[in-house]
Amino acid sequence: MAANECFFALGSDTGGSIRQPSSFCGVTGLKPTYGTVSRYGLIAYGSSLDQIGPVAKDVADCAAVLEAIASYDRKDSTSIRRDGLDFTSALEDNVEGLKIGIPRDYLGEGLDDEVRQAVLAAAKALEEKGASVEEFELSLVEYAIPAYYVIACAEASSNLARFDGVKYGFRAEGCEGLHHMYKKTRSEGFGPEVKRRIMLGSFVLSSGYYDAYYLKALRTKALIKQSFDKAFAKYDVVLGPAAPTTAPKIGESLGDPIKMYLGDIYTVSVNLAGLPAMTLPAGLSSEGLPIGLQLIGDCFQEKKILRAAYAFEKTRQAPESPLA
Amino acid sequence: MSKEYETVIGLEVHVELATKTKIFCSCPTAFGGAPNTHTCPVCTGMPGSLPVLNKKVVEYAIAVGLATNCSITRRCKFDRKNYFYPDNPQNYQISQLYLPICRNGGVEIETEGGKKTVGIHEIHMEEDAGKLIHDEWEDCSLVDFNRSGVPLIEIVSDPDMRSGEEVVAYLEKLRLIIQYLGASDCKLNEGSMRADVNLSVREAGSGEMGTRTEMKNLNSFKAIARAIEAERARQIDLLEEGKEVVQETRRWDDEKGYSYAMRSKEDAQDYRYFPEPDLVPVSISEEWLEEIRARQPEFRTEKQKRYQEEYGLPAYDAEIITGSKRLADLFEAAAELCGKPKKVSNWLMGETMRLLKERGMEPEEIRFSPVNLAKLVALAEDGTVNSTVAKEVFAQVFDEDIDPERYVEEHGLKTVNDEDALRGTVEQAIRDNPQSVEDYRGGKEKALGFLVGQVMKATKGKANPGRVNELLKELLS
Repeated sequence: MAANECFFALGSDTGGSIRQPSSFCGVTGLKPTYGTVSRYGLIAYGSSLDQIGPVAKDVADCAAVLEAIASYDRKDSTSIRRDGLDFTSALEDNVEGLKIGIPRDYLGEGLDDEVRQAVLAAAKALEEKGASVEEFELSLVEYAIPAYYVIACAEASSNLARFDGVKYGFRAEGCEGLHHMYKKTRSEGFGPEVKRRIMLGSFVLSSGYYDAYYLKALRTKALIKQSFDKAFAKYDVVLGPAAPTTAPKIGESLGDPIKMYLGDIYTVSVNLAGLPAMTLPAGLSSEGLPIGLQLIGDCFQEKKILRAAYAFEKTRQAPESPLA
Repeated sequence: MSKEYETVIGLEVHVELATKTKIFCSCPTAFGGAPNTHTCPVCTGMPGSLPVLNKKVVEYAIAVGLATNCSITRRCKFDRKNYFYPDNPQNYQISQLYLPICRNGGVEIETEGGKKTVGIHEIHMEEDAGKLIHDEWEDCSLVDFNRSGVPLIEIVSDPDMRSGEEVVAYLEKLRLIIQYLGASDCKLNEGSMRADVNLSVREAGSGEMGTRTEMKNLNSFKAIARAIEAERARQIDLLEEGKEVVQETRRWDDEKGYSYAMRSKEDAQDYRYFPEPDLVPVSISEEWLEEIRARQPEFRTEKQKRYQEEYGLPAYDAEIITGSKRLADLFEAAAELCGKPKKVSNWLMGETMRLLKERGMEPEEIRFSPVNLAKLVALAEDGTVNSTVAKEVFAQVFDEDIDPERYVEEHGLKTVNDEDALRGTVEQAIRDNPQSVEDYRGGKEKALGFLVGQVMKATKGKANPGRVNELLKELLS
C-alpha cells in the first residue's frame, strides 16, 4: 500500500497486524468489531482474536472496502448479524460534541517522545474542531500483553497442528515412520518465532498449567473488556498511539522477542475486547518515519471512529508515503 | 482365593447419531461411499475452514439426556482435544469437557439380583475420526475421511455396576432407549455403539476404589461379559500375588480370550483441552427443551402397559415384544393393518422367535414388513390357508418379505373348501387303505391320524385337517 502498488489490501489483525504495520508505513488500517467480517477462508492463527479488515491510502477507502466485505456468513459461527454496515455514511467532517478519552496509561513509560507529541497534537486538532478531549485511567494495560500472548499462542498451537505433512503442504524428506515425519516436517517447516509461539501455547494448555496461565488469561481478558466498557460509558472514542515507536529496522525486532512483544502494548487489548479500531498517519518523526494515531471504538461503533478519523485526516496535508 | 472381592465397573459408551449430515458440515453420514467422497474442506481439516454445528445433533443429545433423567446444560460449550494422529485431520477433535450437554442422570436396570439405578455422570457431543487403511503391499498407509465428522455422543456412567450381568443390562437399556428415540441403530458389531469398560476390584466392604484399567475393542455383549470376567480374574490374581494393578488401557482379543496392555497412565497423552474458539456456546431455551420433550416417543415401560391394556396381550408377550424397537414397531403396524393384535403377537412370539433363533439373528435384523405379516395373519384367520401352510408361507415372508397373498395364489396353496371334492378324496383314502379302516374300527384311534395324513398328502396339504377328521369319522361310523 505504502509503495502505491495497489488500491487497497486486506489484513488479518490478531493483536495488531493491520494497525501496527499501517502505523509504521504511513497508511490507514481498520480492524472491525470481532465477527463483522467472515473468517471463513482465513488461515486461523488466534481464532477468538483474528479479524479481517482493510488497509488503504485513506479513511474513505477503508470505509468503502469495509462496507463491501462486512456481512453475516453462516459458514462462520462467530459471525454477527448486524445492521448499519453503510460505513461510508459516517464520512463527515464534523466532530462537534464527540467525546474523546485518552488513556493516561497509554502515554507513560516506554512511549517514544515524538510519538507522544504527535498523538497529543492530533487530539488537540480534534478538540479545535469541537470534540471534547480528556485524559483518563483505563487500567490493566500492563496485563494485556501477557494475557494476549497466552491466549493467542494457545489457539495458534492448536490451529497450526494441521500443518503436519500428512495432507497438504510441506513434508520433510527422509522420514522414518509417522512420529519422525511429524517432528522433522514441523521442525523444518516452521520458522523460529512460530515454533516459539507453538511451544508457549502448548505449555500454557498443559495439564497442571492450564488454570495458572490459560484460565487466568481468560479472566484477565474479561476484566480488560470491562475496563473498556467503563471507558465507553463516558467516551465515544478512545485515542492513543498505535505503537510505542516508529518502525524498527529490518531484522531488529526478531532478535529481541520480549521487546517485540512489548511493541504490541497499544494494539492487543483491542483484540482481547473484540473492539473496532483504526490507525492513520499523524505525522513523521525527525528521522522521517511515519507515526500512527490509533482510534478505538466500542463494539459495533466503527462509524464513530471513522468520523473522528475522517475529520482528523481533513486537518492534514494529503499524507505522503515515505516511498513516494 | 482367600478373600472376597467386589468388582467396580463404569462404562464409556460412544454412540453414532443417525443424522443425515455430519456434525460440523453438510457432508452425508451414509455408509459405503468410495473413500473420501463424503468429504469437504471442513471434515478434512483444510486451512481456512470453520465448523458449523448441526442442530439435529444437539436435539438427539438432549433427547437421550431427557430419556436418561439427566439435567440439560442450558449453556453448553465445545472444547478442543489436541492430539496428533493422521485419522484426525486437524490434529484436534472437537468435543466437550468443561460444560457437557447432559449431566447427573441415571437409568434403572433389572437383573436377577433385583433392580438398581446406574448413574450417568455426563453425556457429551463430539466428532468421529477418519479411518486408516494400512496397505500390506505398499509401503504406505491411506486415510479415508468419510467417517471424519460423523456425530457421536459419549455417555459416561458412574462406577455403579458390580458384574458383567449388570453391564449388559445397562447397555441393553441404553440401546433400547436410543433406538426408540431413533437417535442411532446402536449396532455393537458395526461400531455405531462402542463401549469401553473401566474396571477395578476391591476387597468386599472396602470403601476405597482399587486401581482401574480401561478395556477397549469390545464388539458384542458376549465379548463384554467375557472381557469383564477375565479382567476381574486377572486383577484378583495380581492382588493375591501381592502385586499391584497398573492403571492402563487394555485391548481385548475376543478370539484368544485375553487382553493386552495398550498404554499405561505414564504414556497417557496430555490432550491440552481448551474452549473451541470457532464455535459459540449453545444456548438451549426453555421452548426448545419443551419441543424436544413433547416429541419424546413412548418408551418400553409405557408400551408394555399399553399392550396389555389396549391389546390384551399377556404380560410376558408385552415384555418380549417391547424389548426390541423393531418388534414393537412391527407389532403396532401389523396390528393396526389387520386388526388382530393377539394373532400378530402370536406370530412374533412363536414363529418369528423360532426362525430368529434358527437363523442366529437379532430382532433388529428382521427384514419383513408389517404389511406382509398383516396379510398372512388375515389369510390364516379367514381359513384361506391352514396352519401348516401358513407357517410355510411365513418362513418365506421372514426370509424374503414376499407378498403372502400373491405367493399363496401362485403356488396354489389355498385350503380346499370344496366339500364334494374333499368328500371324494376322503372316500378314496378309505378305499385305498382297508387295513387302516379295519384297525380304526377295531379301536385303534391312531389309524385315523394315518388316514388324515393320506388325505392331506392327496390334497398337497391344502385341506383343512379339522374338516378331514370330521369327514373320516362321519364316513367310518
